Amino acid sequence: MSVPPPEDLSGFSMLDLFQAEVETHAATLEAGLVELDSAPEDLGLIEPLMRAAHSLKGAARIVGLDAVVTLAHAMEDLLVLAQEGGVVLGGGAVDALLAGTDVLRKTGDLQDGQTDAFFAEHKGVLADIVVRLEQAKQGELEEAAPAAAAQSDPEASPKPEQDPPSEPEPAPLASTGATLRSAASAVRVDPEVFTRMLSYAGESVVQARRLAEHTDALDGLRRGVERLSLGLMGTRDRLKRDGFEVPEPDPFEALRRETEEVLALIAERVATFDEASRHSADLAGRMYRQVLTSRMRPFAEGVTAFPRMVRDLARDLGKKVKFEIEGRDVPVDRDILERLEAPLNHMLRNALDHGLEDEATRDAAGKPPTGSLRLVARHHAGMLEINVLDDGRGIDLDALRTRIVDRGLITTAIAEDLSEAELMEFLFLPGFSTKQAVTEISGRGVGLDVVHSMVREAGGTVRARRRPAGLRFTMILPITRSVIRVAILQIAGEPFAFPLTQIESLVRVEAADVQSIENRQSFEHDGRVIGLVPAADVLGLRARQKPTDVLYVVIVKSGDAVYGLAVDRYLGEQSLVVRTLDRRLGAVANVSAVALDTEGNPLVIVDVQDLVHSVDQLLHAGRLRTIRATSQLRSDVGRARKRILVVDDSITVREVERKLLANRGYEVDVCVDGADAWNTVRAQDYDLVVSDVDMPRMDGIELVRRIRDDARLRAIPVMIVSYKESEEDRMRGLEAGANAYLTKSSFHDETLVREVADLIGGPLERRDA
Amino acid sequence: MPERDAPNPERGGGRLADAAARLLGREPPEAYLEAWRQTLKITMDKEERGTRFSVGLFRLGDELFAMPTETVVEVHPRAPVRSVPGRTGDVLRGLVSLRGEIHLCASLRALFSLEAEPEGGESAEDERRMLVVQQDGETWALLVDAVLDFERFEASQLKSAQDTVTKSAIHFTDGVVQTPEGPAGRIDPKRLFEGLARSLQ
Repeated sequence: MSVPPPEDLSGFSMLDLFQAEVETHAATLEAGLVELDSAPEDLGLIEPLMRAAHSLKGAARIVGLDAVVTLAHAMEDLLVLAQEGGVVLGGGAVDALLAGTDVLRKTGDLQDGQTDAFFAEHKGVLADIVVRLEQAKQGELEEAAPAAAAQSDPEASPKPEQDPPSEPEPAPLASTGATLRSAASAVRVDPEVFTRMLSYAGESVVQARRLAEHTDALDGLRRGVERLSLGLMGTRDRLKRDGFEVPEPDPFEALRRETEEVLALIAERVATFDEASRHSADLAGRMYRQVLTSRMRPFAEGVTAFPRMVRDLARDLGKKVKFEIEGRDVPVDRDILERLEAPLNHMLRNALDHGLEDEATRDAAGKPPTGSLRLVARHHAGMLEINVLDDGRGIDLDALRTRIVDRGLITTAIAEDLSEAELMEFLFLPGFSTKQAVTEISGRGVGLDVVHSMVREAGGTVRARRRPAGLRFTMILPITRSVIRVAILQIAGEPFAFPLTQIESLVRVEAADVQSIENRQSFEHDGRVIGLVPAADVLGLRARQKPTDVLYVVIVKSGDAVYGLAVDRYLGEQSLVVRTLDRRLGAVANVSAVALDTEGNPLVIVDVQDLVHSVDQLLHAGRLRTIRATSQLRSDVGRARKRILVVDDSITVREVERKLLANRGYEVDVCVDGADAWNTVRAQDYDLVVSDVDMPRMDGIELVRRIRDDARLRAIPVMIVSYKESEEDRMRGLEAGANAYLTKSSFHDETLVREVADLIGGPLERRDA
Repeated sequence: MPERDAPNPERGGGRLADAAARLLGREPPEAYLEAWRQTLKITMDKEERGTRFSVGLFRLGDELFAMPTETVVEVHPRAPVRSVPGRTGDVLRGLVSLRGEIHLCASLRALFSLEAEPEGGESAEDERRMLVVQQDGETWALLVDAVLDFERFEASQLKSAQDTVTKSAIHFTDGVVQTPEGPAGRIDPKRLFEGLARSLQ
């Protein structure tokens, strides 16, 4: 074996080239041989196989892999003979050719330096395949095939029965071309590079859109000059009317002509610029869509392994099957395509093993001897629909019913009432199989329940239905997981995206229609009473509420819980390209992903299910604010009240303070200790904090210190109200940064309220505050 | 090209083109990359160990700071920062998009415990910038008030930090350089990135 030494760089790259060629041609051979197996008389199918074997032979010679040259040569010889009509390629011959293809493919995966060991190890196998190919040339192989196959490749499953000579197939399968195009020409792209490409493509769309704004600006300029020109002529006419003599040659006329020229020039520039900007927008848009669709792969690419799998399995089972794949060109998201392979594999095996009968049984049932198995992909109603259809024995509904009852899942009476569709649902339950014996073929520890959960993970559903003969499994999946439709809602002054599929509806609620029960707000919608919750609080965003006449509410639901989330505004609907959140952030509550909006700024996509869960928790903790509606504050229309946070571990003191201040018109929230207050004061906006000193977890002095140390909070006035009356305690509080130090005796007169008014003024703010 | 069994000019042309494309598109040999890595590394090491270093000068309020140039990716005008619910705080401000790439954005004022940025409308003279820094593949967009210049200093010009650097900011600097605008604390990238990472918790 003369493999170039590794340090020889030119030889190094030739081996790379060889391996790339092996990948291409082995795929051609495998797909073509499987097709040929079901239509041996179609000599046109042989031509591409000959060429593939020939090219491999040449390539192997260049890199000096003599054993591969010999094998490829033998394969080519057999194929040439078959094409000339010298021999008909039966199942045994195709087996030998496929075995050869398998070895060839393995040489394509070899690392440098492994080649010698590989060929030493596979010497026997190679020789054996060459012998079988020779036998096939003599037309002798059919009898000897199974035994030879069993010896030749330890990984191949034994072929228990001899293959009857294939019958002529009237209809050749769909073109080979579709299967072949895939792997060879595809370019692998690093996911990070892809993300960056998507980023730049998206940004160029945004930039191109900005160019259009310049067109408008230029157009405005043109109109301005036009007005000047008109004004000029108007002035001349007025002067003439007033008896002024316009000298000859008319200077106005000269100016007018000049402006005309300038106008023509501007118009020309506007047109040129407009064209350039349209062109650039078009180009950017195309590029963006193309980058997006580059995530899409033809369906055929995800199912290349199946024809071979079906063929080998059918031979093992001694069944005859015609396997067809339809919709090879249907585009499918790469991610979805990968997730499809395992469930499809299982369903095909299932159909072959349990569904399709052997020839004798089919004959007795009056069915054609060759079973039919079809894999059909198509886009339907914006979803990817994949059907697996067989014409086998199907499902006996009565037997299924009995089995469901036997397993104690439901009673006989209920079973009788179930519709066919409902009965079929039981097939997907864990551990439910209608065939008692778990065979090696479709057993493999994977039941239909696993198919069900795998499809669900990919965001889809799967159903089974009976056909006149056989079964139909239908999977419905999203075409892509990278683009979603969202509603954009403004919360706390910032836009957030809510996936349309996750929200029930968007409604406008008149503030007057908001009811308040036990300080919980709600409104009626479609006959339901829906709890109202400020979205900003659930998301933990700092928001200063402004009272409004109309509330924008998004109704969300998860399980039994239905809530109305009050948002600032509804900004529109849009399709977004989903991206993952920066991994450094880890899992973020209430957030599923991120995207760019039309201006090219980041947009957080909300995880609605998680959000509903958060609402549950907040309600439980009693930490939700109420929404201020103008109707509840009739005398203060258009004004917001000042907010005070009262902190005390004694409920009595807390309530006394809250009432004193609320009666004056302030909005008051309460916290039970310093730690609680520290969290609250950072999450929301307050005009004043009134705190006790002695509290568990964090005392009032520490709270004041933290507020004073915080760049954003340090301007908030803090008042300490304590039982401690000594001058020392007072100094301690003021030194920590409190603005005022009162004792609890101040409740008895107006001192507390007066001090508050001194610090922050009355309860009402100016309209624009 | 070695001899082939059945010359076929039409197909041969296609194969040659394919082969050429693969040859030119192949990964560069590791040894070649390593050789260049060494060459470039030596140049940088010399510069580092040698007598000079380069920094980008920026301003936060009244104070000047110096960011080692090799940490700086770019300087960018301010872009809208979008909050991350539950995570946005004083230091971690949220997400920004720079040419379509989404980065984490932090307030250096908050990290250094300086006074918060005064609220103000943007104007044409707005000098506020984002300093995009990177280390070990981690990128941050940092809000700063102004970026002045990139300058080189002799190693001997780096003095130990003293009172001119705010007490809390001193944790993020490893020395002070005198610039025409006044003393500037040189940022220690390691401590900076550690501090930024803490803001994620």
